Amino acid sequence: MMEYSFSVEKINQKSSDFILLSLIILLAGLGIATLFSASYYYGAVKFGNPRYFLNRQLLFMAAGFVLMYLVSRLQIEIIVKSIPVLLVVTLILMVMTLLPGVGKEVLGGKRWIVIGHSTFQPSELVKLTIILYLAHILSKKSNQKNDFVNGILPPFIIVTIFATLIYLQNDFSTAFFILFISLSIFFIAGIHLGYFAFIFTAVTPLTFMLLFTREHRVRRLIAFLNPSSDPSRAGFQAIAAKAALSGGGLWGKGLGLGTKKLGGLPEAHSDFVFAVLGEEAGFIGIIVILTLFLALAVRGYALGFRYYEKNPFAYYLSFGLTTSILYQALINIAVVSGVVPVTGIPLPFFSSGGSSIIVTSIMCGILLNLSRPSSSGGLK
Amino acid sequence: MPVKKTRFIFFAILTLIFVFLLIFRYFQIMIFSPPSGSPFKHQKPIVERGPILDRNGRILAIQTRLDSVTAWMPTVKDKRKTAQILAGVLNLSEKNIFATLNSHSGFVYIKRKITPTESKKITIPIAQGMLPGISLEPEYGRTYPEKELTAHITGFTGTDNIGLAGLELTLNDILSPKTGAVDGVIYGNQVFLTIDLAIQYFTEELAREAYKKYNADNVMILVMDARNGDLLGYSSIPEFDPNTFSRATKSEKDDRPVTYAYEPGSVFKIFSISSMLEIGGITPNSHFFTNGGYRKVFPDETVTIHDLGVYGDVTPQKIIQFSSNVGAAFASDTVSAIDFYLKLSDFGFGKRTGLPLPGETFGLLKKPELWSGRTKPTIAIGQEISVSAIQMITAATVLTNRGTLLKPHIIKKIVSPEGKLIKEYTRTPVRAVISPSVAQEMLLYMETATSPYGTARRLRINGLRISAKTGTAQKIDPHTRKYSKDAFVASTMAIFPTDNPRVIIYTVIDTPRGREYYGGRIAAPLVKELIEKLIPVMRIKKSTDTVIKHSGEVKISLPKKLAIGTMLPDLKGLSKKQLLPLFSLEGVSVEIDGEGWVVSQYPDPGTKITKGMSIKVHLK
Repeated sequence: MMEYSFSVEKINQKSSDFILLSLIILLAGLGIATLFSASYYYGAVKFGNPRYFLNRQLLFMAAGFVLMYLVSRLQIEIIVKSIPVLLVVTLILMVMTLLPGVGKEVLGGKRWIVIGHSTFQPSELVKLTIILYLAHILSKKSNQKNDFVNGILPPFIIVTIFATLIYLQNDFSTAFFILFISLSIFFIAGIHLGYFAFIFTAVTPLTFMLLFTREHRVRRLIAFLNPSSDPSRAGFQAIAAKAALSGGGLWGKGLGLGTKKLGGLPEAHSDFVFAVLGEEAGFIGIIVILTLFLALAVRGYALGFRYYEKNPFAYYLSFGLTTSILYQALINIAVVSGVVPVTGIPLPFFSSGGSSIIVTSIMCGILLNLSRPSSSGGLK
Repeated sequence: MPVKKTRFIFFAILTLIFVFLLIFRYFQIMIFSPPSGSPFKHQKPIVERGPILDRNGRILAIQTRLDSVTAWMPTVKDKRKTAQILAGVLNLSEKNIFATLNSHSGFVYIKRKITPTESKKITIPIAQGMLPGISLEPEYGRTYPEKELTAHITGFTGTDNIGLAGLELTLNDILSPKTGAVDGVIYGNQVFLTIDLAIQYFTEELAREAYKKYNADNVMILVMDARNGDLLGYSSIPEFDPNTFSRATKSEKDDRPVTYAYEPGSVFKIFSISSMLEIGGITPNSHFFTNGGYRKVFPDETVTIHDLGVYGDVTPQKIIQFSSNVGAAFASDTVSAIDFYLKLSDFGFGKRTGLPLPGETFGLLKKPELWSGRTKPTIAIGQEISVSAIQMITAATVLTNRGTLLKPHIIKKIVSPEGKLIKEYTRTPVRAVISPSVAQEMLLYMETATSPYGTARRLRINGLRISAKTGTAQKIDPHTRKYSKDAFVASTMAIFPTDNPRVIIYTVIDTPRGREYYGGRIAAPLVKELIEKLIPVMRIKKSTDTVIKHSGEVKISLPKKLAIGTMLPDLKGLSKKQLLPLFSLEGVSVEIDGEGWVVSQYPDPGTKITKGMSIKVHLK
């Protein structure tokens, strides 16, 4: 074992990192509580059952925790070996969403495929797949990382294909997020900065073009710049979220006592669940949740640094997974406060949505796996 | 330091900046911005719809503002206590309020449109903070204090105070403008009608009586100022109460004077004969032999027209006096169809008068190219043409204005909420239709109809010159599509005084059922009754009025002032007001009972006034 400035090394057990696990359980618990508070009214109105969203979330959470445990116990080599399969499966699922009859459209987005009675959102899976793939390919080609054609172009093309497919599902923000995660891994992997300049010059105009080709995106953007320009539609969520937050004050109205979720704030149970938290738990509550996410990130990055020199794959992987969870949270929180335009990025552990929970759980499972001292042995 | 580590540190710093930015943003929103209050803010300004008034400012339609008690459940604290307080004020059972509060989780109305007294009572506990979550929301409604009286004119408003019928519909934007809010309230303009409520009472009462008496389909009575076209009375039965318009039938809501087209019958002769005189086909000296009727054979039809009596040789004057159909038919042979058509259309037939009431009919005056051989003589007697009552009374202004048609008015003026005159409707000549001499001639002809031998003799009033024409039109039977033998429209047009016309009255009794159905028999007496009521109201002089000579000075003696010294004066014969000085006496109690003048007092006059004494005064 190498000595690093991080304290991780001192908790050297056979099992997974206790602090990381505690943070995950804590966030999941708070997420469930907040979701119940945010969704009981909508559930009662729409499905006649105030516990509708809670029950679903608990079910997915239970499945997620089982998966998390299994993944954390797997031999890491098995995960590595399954990357090509995962890549192909993800690609197939992504293409399936575009097929009529298989794909399901919700609120204008064709992001779901139907499995039995439930639906699955493969773009969530892309987050996991692309991180695994990039960590693997960049660690394998670490000696070629300044060879543009052989080292960088192939993974970049793969990333572009996935981003394009997600874009075709009418999900600009997730496509952008995939691009962001990928570039941050490229960046951390030490790709020459000149290539970044090249990628940015190629991607930026394209991004703008794609951004402005759909009416709802332009409307959201205008609503972001001036929410009162269209208060009844695109700007409504932003205004309502702000009203919910300012109603919360320092200490909040008390858990379960918020009023905006009672019809005043659309999507209170999914993308805007953080606004409900702000109204009920106040600024203090917001700080607590942010701190928990930051603590989770610090823990995740720290365990990555354990592999910094010996195992670039594990380093890239833990960095990518941690960044994915952290930045989904930060972007969602930014959207709720109106700092960035309204997007469809969920808040991990909090927002309702099975796909997000399952994928986040698997990500946590891999992080927990990497935190076990034994798991790194095979890759040394 | 290896490049990868530098890059991670760079990434971490960027992330931290992002996080601090977010924390700052949340701090800004959550700590520095004031929390929003009630979730139900009035985005739109409140509109206070302007009133509709009669020509003397009497209210026909007015805005009401009543509060509704609402509960916003998330902020309601103690449901039991809230129900208890509300029950005491709102005259509702505590149990019901409690049940309402329990069965809702969001917004709920406790009681809508409470009385102003209840509003006052409930604001006290709200102000004291005893009713968290309970608030008063203003709700606006429209009230028509005169109920049915002007229902067809004012119309009514629906929810959100939007005009749905009558002037409420056509003047919606004037009564509740979209812009011009002052402190969040838009005040609407005031609309003054030409209608005189006093006259409207008469027309409505008489129309309703006739409606019942003759079991008619409908009765219309219109009264117009002959000099400027102002409608003074406008009644149509069946009618409805606009306060509860949703319960009224379609027939009750129909504003017939403008929407209903019918064949006018003989009253129309005043316009057809005037037209022929003006065109020059006939002159006041023309004469037609009417015995044996009018008969004309065309290749495809034969036209026959008869009279009720035998009138012999008739002049235009006699055609009007006796209402000779045969005379009118022969007279029509003297003019061409196109001239006749153009003149009638100058009178306004087949056109809208432009009265601002919704759904006005054009009536039906066929183009001359569609006329058959029988059309011209038939129109001359007021059949085969459809008119509205408003067209008829408007056309009569030609006769009272030296041959010029006037535009009818029902709106006198529009006044801004501050009382500034926005628009005033005055005499509006439309076009010259006939020469003054023809108009004058026709009024004189019509006067002979009220002579002891004329058809309108039943509306004769001693001492008042009245020009009138009666009519009994046959209605088309909707089944046989031929003129019915028992469905008629009885009507009368009256203009008075003949020498200086001031008033036009037009009465229509549609389908009277009973032994009597002739216009001269049932519509004319109705008009007479109305004229008799109008004479004092409109200060119309009759030649039989006795003139009282008077110096013009009236002496009024000032009431005796009560002087109180040390003794109690004699109060007998004083009014209550004159007793006031008694109350200025110190230490004396005064008790007054009864109304009128003092008949007795205690103590008697001359008693010394002392402190602590009590004076009793009885009035009768």
